[in-house]
Amino acid sequence: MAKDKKKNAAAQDAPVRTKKKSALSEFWRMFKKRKISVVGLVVVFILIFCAVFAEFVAPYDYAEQDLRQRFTYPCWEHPLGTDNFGRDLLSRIIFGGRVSLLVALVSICTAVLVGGSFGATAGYFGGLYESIIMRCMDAIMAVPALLYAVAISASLGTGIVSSTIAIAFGFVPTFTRVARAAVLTVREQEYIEAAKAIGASSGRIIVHHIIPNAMAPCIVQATVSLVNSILTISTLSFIGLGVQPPTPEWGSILANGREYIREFWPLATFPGVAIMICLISFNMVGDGVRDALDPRLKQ
Amino acid sequence: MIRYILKRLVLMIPVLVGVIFIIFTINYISPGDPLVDILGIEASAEQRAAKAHELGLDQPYLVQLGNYIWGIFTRLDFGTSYRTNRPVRDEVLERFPTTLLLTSLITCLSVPCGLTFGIVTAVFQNSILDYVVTFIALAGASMPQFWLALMLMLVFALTLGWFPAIGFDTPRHWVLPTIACGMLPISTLTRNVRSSMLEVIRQDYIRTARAKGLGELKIIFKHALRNALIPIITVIGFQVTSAMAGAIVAEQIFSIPGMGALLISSIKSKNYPSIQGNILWMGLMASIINLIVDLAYAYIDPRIKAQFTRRKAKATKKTAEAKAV
Amino acid sequence: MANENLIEIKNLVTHYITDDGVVEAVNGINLSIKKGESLGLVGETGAGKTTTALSILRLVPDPPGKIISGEIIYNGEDLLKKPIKEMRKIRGGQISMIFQDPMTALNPILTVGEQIAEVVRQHNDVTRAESHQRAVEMLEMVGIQGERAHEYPHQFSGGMKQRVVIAIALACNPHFLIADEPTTALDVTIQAQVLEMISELQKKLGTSMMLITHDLGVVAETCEQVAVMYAGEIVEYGTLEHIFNHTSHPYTEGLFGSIPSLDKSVTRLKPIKGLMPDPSNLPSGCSFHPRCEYATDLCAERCPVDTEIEPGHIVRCLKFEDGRHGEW
Repeated sequence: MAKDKKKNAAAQDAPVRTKKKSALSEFWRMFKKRKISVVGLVVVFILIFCAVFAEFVAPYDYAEQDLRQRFTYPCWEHPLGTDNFGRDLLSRIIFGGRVSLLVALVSICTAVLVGGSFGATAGYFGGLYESIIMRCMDAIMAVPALLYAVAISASLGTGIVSSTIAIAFGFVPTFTRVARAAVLTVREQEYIEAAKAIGASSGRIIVHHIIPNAMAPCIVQATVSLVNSILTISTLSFIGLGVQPPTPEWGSILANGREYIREFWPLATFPGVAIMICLISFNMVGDGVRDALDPRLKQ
Repeated sequence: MIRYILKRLVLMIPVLVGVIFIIFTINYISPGDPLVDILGIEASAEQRAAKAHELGLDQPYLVQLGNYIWGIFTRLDFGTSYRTNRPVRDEVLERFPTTLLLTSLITCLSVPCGLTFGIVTAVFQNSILDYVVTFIALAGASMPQFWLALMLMLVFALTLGWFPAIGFDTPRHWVLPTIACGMLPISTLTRNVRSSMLEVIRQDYIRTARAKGLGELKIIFKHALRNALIPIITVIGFQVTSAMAGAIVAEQIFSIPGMGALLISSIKSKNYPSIQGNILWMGLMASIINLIVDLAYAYIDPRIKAQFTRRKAKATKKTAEAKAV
Repeated sequence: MANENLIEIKNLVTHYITDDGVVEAVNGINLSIKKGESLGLVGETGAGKTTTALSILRLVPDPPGKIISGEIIYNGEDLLKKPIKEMRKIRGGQISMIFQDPMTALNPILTVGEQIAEVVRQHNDVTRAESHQRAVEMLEMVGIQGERAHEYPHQFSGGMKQRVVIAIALACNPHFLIADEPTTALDVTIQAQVLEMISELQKKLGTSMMLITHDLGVVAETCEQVAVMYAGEIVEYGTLEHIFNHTSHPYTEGLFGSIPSLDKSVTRLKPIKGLMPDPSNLPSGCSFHPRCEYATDLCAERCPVDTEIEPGHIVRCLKFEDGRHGEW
């Protein structure tokens, strides 16, 4: 009975598509309430800005070597010091952020698209197709995502593209499940029946009715997964499977720092601090997004 | 209950076949030529053909896959290592106890800590304690394990000298890797337990419990916690399997001779059977952990338990209602 | 007279303090219930009925809820001043509550038997076995087979669950029972059964009761006293006879106008125009004046006070103040 109530509530706000704008402003109103999430969002914007305009933000080029200035401790000229080739660490971290964020974002987008379409179609069509898809996802879910990322990178070789594929693969089942669950709740709604009754095609129903409703849970899941994918790409690079030197990436800079950890601590410390600041702010945004969208998600 | 366990075990088989299929295929499509890796570039065509035949690499994909799956299920045969020519199974089994120990240590540290912190922060919501612990958990969930491992090593091993930096022989060696790998599960659990508890505390049945005049402790432990744990069990299972995967990195940093170290060295030497075997073994372990999680679910949530005794329950309910009328 | 009262609520004010403003859920209500008597608390959704009930047990969720002022005298003592430990002895033991939604009021992972036995153990010095014996008895009393005590809530239908909730509430023979819309969530056919059962048990055990409902028909069947609540205030209060036959407050009139009657033939029911005001932004003066047919300019300016128009019949409306007896 309680379920019915919620269904009705969902049915009431779902078909009104002109309300989209107000849904967005409503979301922003809820999101604003958590001040800490807004702070996180600002930091995320700053990080993205730095990543996009790294050439202008970074004081040096990431590959610019100065062998006379190897292992400089933080000073005015090099705020975070220099590495074993005398390259400016701050610049390398800024350029490294570009790679980490790019790989993470692209892989999550890929996973959302691939997983979302598997899930949406599985939920919509049901039957044998659904069973096959969901059993495959179970199999993927059975192994931690990091292991798949390792296996795929080991197989496809290193580099940005194969890392992206490797990371995306492990996240596909998550989005398949989220999308399928959303579709299953929407599918039973009366307005879908109505749409079918007036002869709307499956494609139209999926695009116009189901996807908008599956959006909220997918967005929440995507912000959470983004944190994990940043962790995964830096882990891959750290163990030498991700992005290869000289391209800077937070994980690979850390791998380099590990070699010199006994002699020169900044190299193993600051890239990690950068990852942490980045992930803390992503997590804060994620918490805010979840709280703002939650009332509709409760199932 | 036994029937339920058996049912879950049977259901595990297709999942395992799926895992084997995926891992095998990922390795199969690898652009590299394993023969070059084994024999070197200078090997003659005959040598290569002979080796390919010996390893079964000249057979079609489906046959290779079938043989591989058959070997695993009948003989627990994960193939032969290219490097050492020993069965991958033996190599993995040599390393497995170390990884299992590390994973168990991480679990034993993180589950009690995560539960306690989560409950405390939920019960004292919006207190200073809540803010401090929640922020630490946020930071802990935002740290790469390998970086934390490096930092712990830098501070507690290299600078302060309290713990050894590498190795895994004595309990003193265990401390840093366990903390390094445990931080993420502790933080994730804390955050999840807290939000789950807060969610449950708002429920009507908690108000009912209050209206009965029960004390806060009873309300929290008997009524709230058990309900809050239902979604948490999944998180615990997920965290344990992730900790096992995360141990790969920690093992490399602390030079621990576990499966992770074996996996990394196999990757570096393109030793595909060994890579496959390692990952499959971990996948098998993860599946077993998931099975335990499922069983724990049934134990804690009567609604799940009802799914496998539904018929019986329905029958009794029907007769009961018939009698009542 | 005061000695006869089991419970007496004086000037109770309960607010919910949220980020978006203060919700004035209960604004100074006065009520009293004698031993063995039952009072119907009537009003629309959002009138503050449930908040009143939760205030008595001090279960208003805090935050955001706060009991701002007032007294709740039970057996000569103010419940609002009692330490929480004492309060726990009263909850479930002497004062108990039947909740609105039986679907969510029961803990899904405990057997219904345990949920009943638990409250018995809490308030009586009994063994586990004795408490479960009592739980079985209670289940049988509310018409559920005793052997179903070891089943879980999901195995029961809605009506059955409500019976379990009632069994929990009555398990310790409370002196005072608060029934918060006990039948709203149930099918019409079961509603009558459950109501009948409640009032039967109430009479059998000599319990006083406060029945919260928006259904005047239910009140007419079960209650001796009636209080009509609107926007956190009691606008009319009296015996069943007073309210039904000498309906005085325009709001009460409106309530009667909106239900069908057997003995009058009307072509259309007359609903009260407009909506319940937003409790975080109540109108000035009498909070009913924007919807009131008889409202004058004065109504928007002055808050009416309680006026006793006949012994025991209290109305809060300017129409009756200064001896006007409903005439302007």
